[in-house]
Formats: sequence, structure tokens, C-alpha cells
Amino acid sequence: MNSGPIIRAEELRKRYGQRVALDGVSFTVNAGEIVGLLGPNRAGKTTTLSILSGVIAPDSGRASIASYDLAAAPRLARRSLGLVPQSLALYPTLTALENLVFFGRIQGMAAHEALSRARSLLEEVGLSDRTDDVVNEFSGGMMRRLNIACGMVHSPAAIMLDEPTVGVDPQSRGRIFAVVEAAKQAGGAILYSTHYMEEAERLCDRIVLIDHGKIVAQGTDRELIALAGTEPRIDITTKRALPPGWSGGITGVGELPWEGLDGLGAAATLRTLDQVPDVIRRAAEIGGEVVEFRVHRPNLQDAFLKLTGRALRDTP
Amino acid sequence: MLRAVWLTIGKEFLLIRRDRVGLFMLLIAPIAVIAAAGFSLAKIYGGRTAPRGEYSVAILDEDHGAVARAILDAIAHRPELSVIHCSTRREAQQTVREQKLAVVGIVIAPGTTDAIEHGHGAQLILYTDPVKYLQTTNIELTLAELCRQISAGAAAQAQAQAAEQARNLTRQLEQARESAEQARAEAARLGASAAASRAALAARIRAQLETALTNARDQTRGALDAELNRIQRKIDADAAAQQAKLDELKDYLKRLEIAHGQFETWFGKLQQLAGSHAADIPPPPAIPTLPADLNLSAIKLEPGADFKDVRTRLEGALTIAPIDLNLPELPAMPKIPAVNIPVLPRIDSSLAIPGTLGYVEVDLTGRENGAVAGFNAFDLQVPGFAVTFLLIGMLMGVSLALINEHDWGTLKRLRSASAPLWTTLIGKLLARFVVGFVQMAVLFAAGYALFGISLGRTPAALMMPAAAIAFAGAAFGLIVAGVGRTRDAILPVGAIVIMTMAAVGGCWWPIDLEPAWMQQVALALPTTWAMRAFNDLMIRNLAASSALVPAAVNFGFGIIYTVAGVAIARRRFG
Repeated sequence: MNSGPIIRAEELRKRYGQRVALDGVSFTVNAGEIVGLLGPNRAGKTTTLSILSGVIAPDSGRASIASYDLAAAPRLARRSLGLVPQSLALYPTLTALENLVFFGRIQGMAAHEALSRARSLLEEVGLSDRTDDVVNEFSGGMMRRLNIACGMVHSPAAIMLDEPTVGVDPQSRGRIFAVVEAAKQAGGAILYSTHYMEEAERLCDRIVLIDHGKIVAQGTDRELIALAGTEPRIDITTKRALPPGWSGGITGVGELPWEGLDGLGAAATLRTLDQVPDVIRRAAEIGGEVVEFRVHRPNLQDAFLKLTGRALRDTP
Repeated sequence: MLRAVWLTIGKEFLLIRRDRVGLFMLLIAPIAVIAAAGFSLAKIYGGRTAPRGEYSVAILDEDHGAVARAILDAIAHRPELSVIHCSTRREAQQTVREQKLAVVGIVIAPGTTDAIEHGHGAQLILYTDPVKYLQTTNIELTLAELCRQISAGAAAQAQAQAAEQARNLTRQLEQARESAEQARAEAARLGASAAASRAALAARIRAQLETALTNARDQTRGALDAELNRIQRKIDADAAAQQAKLDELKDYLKRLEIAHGQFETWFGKLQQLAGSHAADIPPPPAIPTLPADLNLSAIKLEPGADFKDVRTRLEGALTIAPIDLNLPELPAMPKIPAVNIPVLPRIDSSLAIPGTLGYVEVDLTGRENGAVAGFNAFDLQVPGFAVTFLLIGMLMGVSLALINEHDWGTLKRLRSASAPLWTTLIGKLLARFVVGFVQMAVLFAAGYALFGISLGRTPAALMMPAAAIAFAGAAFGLIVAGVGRTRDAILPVGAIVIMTMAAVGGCWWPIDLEPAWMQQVALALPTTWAMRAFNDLMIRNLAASSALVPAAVNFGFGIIYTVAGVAIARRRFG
């Protein structure tokens, strides 16, 4: 195995017309490490993964996989990576085994080797009893698991997963996490794109926060959460939208520039949890009625909010 | 790279095997459509003999003559026709229209035979049902053929009679020609005899003339001699008498001259005598003197000439030149012109009876099919719909399959793998090419087994156009996939394009039914070339080499489509 980072992105830039998709993205993923790529929709996660997997070329910047430059040695670089795209990438009329064997062989594996590895992976993702069933008979979660297995069948040095748990049932999600962690244990360098902060907190050794094509911050989850401070936070949903300054008069309460769905949500930091009743009362006076509120400790969501002024997508 | 192509081909076969709808569209649907189209359109192409009694005809014989009997007899020998005899026109009409028991009603009007026998035209009356247009057309063709045969038979009989008369005339003319030749020879002989007689007569006349002339000359010469002698004597005598007179004159002149001298002397003396009166004496009259140059003494009349010159000239004049007996030519023998009796042209029906223009139809296989040739409709429908469904298969197998790969996300996964996009495209194209080729082979085999299609002289030669159109079709599917953005776009656009290509290219009907401009446009379509090759091999029964050019053209189309398709697809999916 090559020494140094397995996945390396250096100053990646990409535009689609006038829209800047990536604006100087740089990060690395080392062997045996899971790096989360966290950001809201259209932040640039998929574009980053597409460039790193060789599906599209950057306008500028370099990308390498296992020290193979994707532009200079694309075949070697691609052979070293496994992509698990956001959408399913399976042949629905082939069986699970046939899908795995085909993608293994297309990546250069011998037939018996691909067959052996496929059976092993099917066991790992909990589909060994559906080996010879065609994929279009699978549930969504089963397809997701098989989708991940197909990206890992050739035991690549670098694995990129693009929101692999979207629409997945808890059982399948657990299986997926197990497979990803097993790959990490096997020494794989894993880039895990998600907008679920819980997944990132649970799985990732490091997290890269991305928004509007730029890396906002990167580090461990603790490091990032620390950026958001330690004050408790309250999220309120009211019947009418709360105008700026709605919390005026309550000492120590700081309004956060965040809006929930339909503009009816608001957020604020609290000095102490004792201030919760006052804040709810004030919100009810101005917003008509408090429909829902939630008090929580700072997390990646808060860090992202603090860093970008925007919220990540709705939590699972 | 090659490995990726092979793996893609294998994967495509797996996908096809699992795609029951696709397999149905590839194999079963074409056979069903071919069967429907072939059986429905079989009568149009006339290749198969219609079943016994396929068409019923109502017949009303109002003529009862030889022609009517011939028509009825001919119809009776047509197995596809069954006859319903009617006794009235109304019944014949009802049989066709109201009862629908017959396709057409045929009325043989009274006087038909009489008209035909006297060289006039005659027409049958047909009661038709416009709804049964095709059947009516078929029966009309049969009737036309029957009428032609009957007319041809009558014409042949009349022509035989005319030919016999012509032979007699020729024989008589030949005899006349021989007689004329004999007369001409006799005239020539008489002419020669007359010329000989004339020559003999001329010789005899010339001899008699010469004798007569000689006698006349001798007599003339004697007479002339006597007369000349007499004249000479008379001249001599006259000359002597005149000489005497001349001598007397000379003497007188001499004495006159002397007297003149004496007078001069006398007168001189007179004058002397007159003395002073001499001047009064008038001068004596002058006595003329002889001209100085008159020397009378020199004149001497000689005796007469002997007429020697005259005799010589007369003798010359009496010499008879050879007689050029310029007998007038005998009047020319009247020349009997060569009797140029023209060879009597071969007498054919045109002298008496207009010939019937018929034809013997010989198809490209060299077989005589009789008056109306045709082909098994399935010979057209099987390759036509095989090509159509091949293209449909390509639409689904290449175009939609690529869209599927895109929609399934597998294309993205493949692009992130070490195999480049073109290996996927080429692998898919090759797999579909093989499938298309097999599809064609299966459909042709089914056509042979189920519908009895012709496989031509060399069945293996069918593989050439089949492979070519499969290749071109697969490559065309690549273009459609690249141009069409979505499945919803590809399906209608692709279907329209394929249907148009199939229709214009002659897959559904013979391309010769199309207008000329459309046939020219069709040359830009691979379907046209494929059908040309299949028609040449299966229907026209041409040699395998006839498929070389069409197959090469379609391979050319395939190469162009592949290059364009890969380029477009790389832009679309790359």
C-alpha cells in the first residue's frame, strides 16, 4: 500500500455555467480513516466525490487516489477506488451475486476471486440468503446494502460513499455502518458524504464541513462542535413567523440566524436552561402560539449554523 | 480494455436473458406481426395459388355461343374460381351485392360470339362490389387472362388460315416469276438472232453496192474520156482558126503601121505645101497606137491541152471510197423487263386479323411463371418485419439500455471503474449486434419453417445483409441514445424514426410502390439497402454476390453511426 494520504484533494474547483460548485476544496483521507463530508444540499459534496472518483474532471486542482493522479493515471487511480453513489447503481434484473461479480470483474478481479469476495460481502451486508434473487425484488434498504457492497467488492484502497443511508430503514443503516467500519478496520480510506450529522458524529474520525463549494471547517467532531460554543440552544416553531428581535428584553438570550421550515422556526442560545419558560412565553406572545420547541446541547448542526449561518438539512 | 468489452457483452446477455418482455419483442412479436401481415397481404403479391374455390363468380350466359362456351370452359378450369350460374341479370346482381355469394357477376351478353367471329369487339359485363376491391382486381386479372387466351386462340386460328392462303399466293407468284423468266430468255434469244440477220444483210447490200458503183464508175470514166477527147479536138480546131485570125490581125496591124508612117509623111508634105496656111490646116485625126506592152508577135495560140489534169482529177473523183453502209439500226428488240416479282412477305395475322399482344413472364430466376407471376408475401414480410423489429430491439437494447444504465446509476459506477466509457458502449453495441444477428437468424428460420419463405440460392448469403443491418441498427441505437435525453424522449422519437425508416426503406411494402423521390431519399437509409439485399437473394433469386454492395453500404452506415454514436454518447454520458 502507498504511504501517505490515500485520498487527496488539492484546490479543486468546478463551475457549472455561472454557478460555482467547488471553490478550492482541499483535504486528505488516510488509510484506516473515515472522513465525513458534511454539508447541506448543493454544498458540493457530490461534485467533490464525482471528481475524486473520476466521473467528472475538475476545472482546476489535483486529485489523487493511492498516490495515482486521476488525470495522469486514471486507470490505476480508479482501480484503487470504490464508489458508492448516492443513487442506487445496480442492475435490477441481475441477481445480487451477478451484480457483485460483474462489478468485481470489471475492476480487474479474476472470476473465482470475484465470486469468493462477492459471497463474503453478501454475508457481510446480510444478503447471503438473497444471493440469487434479482435485485428488483429487494427492498430499498437491501438495495442500499448491495449498492455499498458493489463499491467495495474489489477491496479498494479508497472508498467513497455518497449519502449511502438516504431512505434506509434503521436495520439496514446499522448494517451499512458495520460494513463501513469493517472497511475502515481493513485499512480502507473512506470518504463518507452525508448531511446527517449523527452519522458523521458516529462514524467519522474527521469531518469536513462544506458549504457553497467551500470548506468551512474540518477537524474532529469535538473540534467542530467547540466552534459553536457551549451554550444550550432552543429551537422554536411558532404559528406565525417571529420577527428579528423577538427575544428582546430577555437577558442572555441570543437569536440565531436560522429559520425552520416555512420560515416559522427560530433559534436562540440561552445562558441557562432556566430561561426556557421566558423564551417560550415571549415566542407565544409574538408568534401567536408555540407549536413545537426543542432544547439541546451544541452539536455539529450548531457548529455549521454558527460557521455558515445556514442549517444542515432536516435531521433524520 | 478488451476484457471490459467482453465483460460488458456477457452482462448484456444476462440482462437480455432476464428481460422477458424484450425477448418477446425480439422473437415472438415479430413472428405474430409477420404472420398477420403475410397472410393478410398474400393476395396482393400473388405468389401463392389461391385455395380451391377461393373466389365465387356469378355467371349469366346470354350468348350461348362458342365464345361463351370458351369462357365458361376456361373458368371451369380455374381451381380458384367457383361458378354460380344465374338466369337473369337481376339474379346475378343480387348474388353479388345483396347475397354476397359471389365476388363479381359476369354477364356474357348476347351477340358476343357473333361480334367476335365477325371481327368486332365485344365486352363482358362485370357486376362488382366496391368493398371487395382486391378480390375484384384479382378476378379481373384472371378474366383478362382468360379473354386474352380466348382472343389469342381465335387469332391463332385465323392466322393459320391466313398463313395457308399466303402460302398458296406465294406458290402462284413463284410460278408467275418462272414464266416471266422464260419469256425474258426467249426475247433475249430473238434479239440475238435479229442482230445476226442484220449483219448478214448489211454485208450482202454492201457487196451489191460496190459492184454497182464499180460499173457506174467504168461507164462514167468511158463517157468522160470520149467527151474530153471530143472537147479537145474542138478546142484544137478553134485554136487553129483563131490563130489564123490572129495572124491576119497581126498583118493588118503591121500594114496599118506602115500606112501610119506614110500618112505622117504625106501630112508633113501637105503642111509644107500649105506653106502659110499650114496653120490653118486642122490637125489630122490621131491614129491610135498599139499599147506599148501589146506584143502581138508573142501571142501564139497553141493546140489544145490534153486534159491530163482533168482526167487525173476525174479519176480521183471516181475513186469509190469503201462503202460505209450505214444501215439504219434495226428497231430495238422490245426488252422484256426482268420480271421482279417480289417475294411475298411472310403472311402473318396483320394481313387479316390484328394479333393479340401477349407476354410470357419470366422472373429473375429464369422460371416461367405463366401470365401472372408473384412471390410469397412472406418473402417480403419476414425480412421486412425482421428488420423492423431488429431496429425496435436496438432502440430498446441500445438506446433505452443506455438510458437505463444512466438511470440505474450503473453507468456512473462503470465510469468510476477502470474501464473507460467507450468499452461500455462498444460492449453493449457488440452484444446487441450479436443479439440482432441471432434474432434475424431465428426469424428467418421461423419464416422458412412456418411460412415457407425462400432462402434463395445460397441461404448462407443471407447472413451478409443480416449482419450488416444488425451492425448498422445497433450503431444507430447508440446515436438515438446520445440524442435522446430521457426515456420519454427516446421512445416516441425512436419509434417514429424506426417506423419511418422501415416504411420508406421498403420493409413493409415493395419500395417500388413509393414515388421516385422517396426512393431516392430511401437510399440514405440502411433499411433500404438491407431490403434490397434480401429481395435480391430471396425473391429475385440472385447470386450471393448481389448482396455484397448493399451489405457493404450498411457496414459503412454502421461504421459512421458507431463513430458518431460514440462521440455523441460520450458527450451525453461522459
